[in-house]
Amino acid sequence: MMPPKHPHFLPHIKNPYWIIIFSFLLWVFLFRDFLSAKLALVHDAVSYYEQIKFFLDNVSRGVFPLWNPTWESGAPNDFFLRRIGAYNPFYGFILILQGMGLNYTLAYLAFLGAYYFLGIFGFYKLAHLIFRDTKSAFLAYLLLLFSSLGTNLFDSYLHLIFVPMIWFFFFLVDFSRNPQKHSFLGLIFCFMLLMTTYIPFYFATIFLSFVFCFIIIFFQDFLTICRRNLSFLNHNKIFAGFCLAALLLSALPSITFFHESSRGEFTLPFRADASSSQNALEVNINKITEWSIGEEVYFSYLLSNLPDMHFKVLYIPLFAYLIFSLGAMSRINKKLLLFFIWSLLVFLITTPQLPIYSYLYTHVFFFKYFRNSHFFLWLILLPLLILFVTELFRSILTHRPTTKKENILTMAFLLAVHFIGFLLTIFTKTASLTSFLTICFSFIFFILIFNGRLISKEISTLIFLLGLVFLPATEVYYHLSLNSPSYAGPSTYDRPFTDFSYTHSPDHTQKIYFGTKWYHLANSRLDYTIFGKYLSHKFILYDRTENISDKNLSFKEVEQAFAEQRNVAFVSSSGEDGADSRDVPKEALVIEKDAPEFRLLSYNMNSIKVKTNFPSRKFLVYNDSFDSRWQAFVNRQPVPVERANIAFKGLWIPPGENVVYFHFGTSGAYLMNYVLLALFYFLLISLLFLWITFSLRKS
Amino acid sequence: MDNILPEKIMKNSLLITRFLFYGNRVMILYLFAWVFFHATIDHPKSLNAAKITVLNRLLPSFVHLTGIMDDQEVPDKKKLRGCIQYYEKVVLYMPQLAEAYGLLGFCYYHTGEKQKSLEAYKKAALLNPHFFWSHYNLGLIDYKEGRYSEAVESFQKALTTQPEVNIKIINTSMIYKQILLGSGHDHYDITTHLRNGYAAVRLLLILSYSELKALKQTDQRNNRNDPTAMLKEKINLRPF
Repeated sequence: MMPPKHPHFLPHIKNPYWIIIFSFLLWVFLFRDFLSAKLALVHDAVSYYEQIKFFLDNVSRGVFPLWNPTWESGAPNDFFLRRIGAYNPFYGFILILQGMGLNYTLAYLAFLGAYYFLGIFGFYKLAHLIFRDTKSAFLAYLLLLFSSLGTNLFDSYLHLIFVPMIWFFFFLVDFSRNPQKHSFLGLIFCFMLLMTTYIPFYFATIFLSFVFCFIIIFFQDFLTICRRNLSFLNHNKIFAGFCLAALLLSALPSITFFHESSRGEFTLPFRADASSSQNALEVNINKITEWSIGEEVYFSYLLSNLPDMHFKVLYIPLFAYLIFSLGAMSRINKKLLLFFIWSLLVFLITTPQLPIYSYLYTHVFFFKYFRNSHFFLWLILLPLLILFVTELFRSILTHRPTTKKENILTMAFLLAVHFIGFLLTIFTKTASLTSFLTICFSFIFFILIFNGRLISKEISTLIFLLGLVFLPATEVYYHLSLNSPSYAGPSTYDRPFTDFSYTHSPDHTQKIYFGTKWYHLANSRLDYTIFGKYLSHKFILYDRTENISDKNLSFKEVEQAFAEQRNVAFVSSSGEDGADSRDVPKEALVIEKDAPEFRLLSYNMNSIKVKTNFPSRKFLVYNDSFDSRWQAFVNRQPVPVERANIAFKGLWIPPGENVVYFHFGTSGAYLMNYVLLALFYFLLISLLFLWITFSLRKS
Repeated sequence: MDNILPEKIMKNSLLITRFLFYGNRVMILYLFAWVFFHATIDHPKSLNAAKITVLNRLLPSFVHLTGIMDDQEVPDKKKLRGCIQYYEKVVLYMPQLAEAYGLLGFCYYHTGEKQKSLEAYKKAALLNPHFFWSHYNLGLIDYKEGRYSEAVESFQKALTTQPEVNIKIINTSMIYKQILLGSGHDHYDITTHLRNGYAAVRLLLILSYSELKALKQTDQRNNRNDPTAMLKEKINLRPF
């Protein structure tokens, strides 16, 4: 073998962290308008921004918000806590930045960027483990970093599933190769994060499909890995036992939430068809089949012109397509087969139009909870495609023409692929200066590779790769910035919300997304203006009550009573009417501010305490949605909470001075949440400690 | 005979070798994937669903558009860009919608793309020759560009349209309804605007004729002696 012509001064680089960070800074530059709040968050990203703010603002005050009184006149907050993955210790980063003086918006955007980097870096580490080659791993990192996966940060919430999932697979591969405590703990920690964030069944589907494909293709390896892992567990019983106990504990919130969803106290009208579903989270199959992977791909195709770049458009760097084409003549190996079959399997079982989906929907319980099957495109199909392309790239790098004929054929093939690529960009109207330059530089790159000039100069290869992937992305994200709306101002929770107010604006949502079952009923059946005016007062006191049956509910009568502010509360119970025989005023007493007879003592998201002093017995209606988990105490004595005026809380107050206290949930529920929050932080710190000590021992 | 057999065997073994060679290549996976996706996806249905979503996703706020129509706002290129993108897709997916072409022409005009505006209005007039505003705007652009004979032709066509038909078109048009709903207008006085439009067309026709006549004359006109100067001041020379 001939020695290299030019000595290279830089040693072989195992982990080029400086160029990884530099690449990420280039990504930050491309998205600077989004990360600096010059451009707005849109769609689901807004909701997550708000819910995380709501959660952090309360937790930083020592309140774990299990109830949200600001959402649709009050709703259980479990749903949102599960969506955001409330126990994620990385949210602490936002609090740290806020503590350093940054406002929440910028702190949150910084968190999004940093969390995305964490995920993409995890993908680099995973690719390095799989391909055992820095150049290939770096290419995989670049292709994913500059793909439109990153746009989901500002439009969706997929990063909350994607990041722990990637690290889960990294720790899984690492543990399979070399079982160590830190990788086992990492596996468990990521699994716990995934179980407590949004709908864990997306990850479950991805993981199970992976296991199935891996066993088929790498059966012998699978057996070896199982033996090795069992041996590790056998030698580390206490450690493994602790990890598994933590895992089981982290399953509790999801299990209790699932149980709550079947009790029917809350509803998601857009998801479920109330007549057919037993669980509020179930999605009607007709809703699922409206939009899936095929439609998402077509959507991207229809907006494939650069000036049309928008959110949800799937963009993969042009260089990937060139490698895809060049790799057509590569030999199929087990890795390629695994990525390919796994992709097809995921597509097959998650496309609702296919008959197999109806079978899975009926027989596999968690298929009823997927509303967004197109998420699989972003969560797994895109990363698998990039891994597939990276493996092709790795095999292309190993190709060395040995004869003159092979050399000519290779060059001809290279030229043909690039020329066809050039023509395709013109015919598909995706042509631009950067795409032409990319094709040219790619051609030069591969010529240098096949002539062996670049291989020894790893740094040059990495810089070349960065240029090839970054160049076309500049134009793509420039157009995305042009097509994105500007920052629209503070959102709901950017304004003060933690203080109590006796009166509210009569505006309320006409069609709710999420709320209690009874509130949804009242909201949809009562006149909008009358109901809005009723809701504008938090506390109303009545002298009389009237029992109503849920089966024969007269909405007109209730509506009339609200309009006239009649002095009678409608109670949904089977007890006697609380009719007072005294002469009572015609109108109910509306509390608009603190007064000698009625004063607010304390308030937070989960509870409220008031002091009353009325000369006669009164029925207090607190216009905050009813839920059976609410408890009430009058002078520290528990009293039953009635469901009043269809959807709200009510109770009788005796005459004289009383302290009335409403509190949501049990002490056990709060204890579980605080313990889990602490556990997640503890596990993260332990993971970092174990990993660092392992790395130091190894080096 | 002995020569043929080995030749046949050689040919077959060559085929087998070729088959094994290509069968072991990644291109086979590509072929399989292509067949798989074509067999599993309902392409027309997916494409239609995607088109609807594209239009919903691109649906802009029409506040600025109606602000320009009401002379309340100065045209802003960035704000109109969203409307242009939207209407370009509408005419691409629903090429029979004349009103969409008309509004596209309106947006192009206010972003300075006069030629594109002209073509869009021509298309709108061709698709629906009974719609007053297409002819009006076409004539107005021609008038401003100095093409007076074309302007006269368009204004004459505009005057042949029937007001009742135009009111019906605007009231039943999905495109115009979107604008009214999106802009927060509770009520848009179509009749008054149309009446003003017809009056403006008559004046513009007079102006166009006089410009044509002036072009035929060789001596310079003094603007102070121009009897049509006052009329020009009264006319709003912006498309609607």
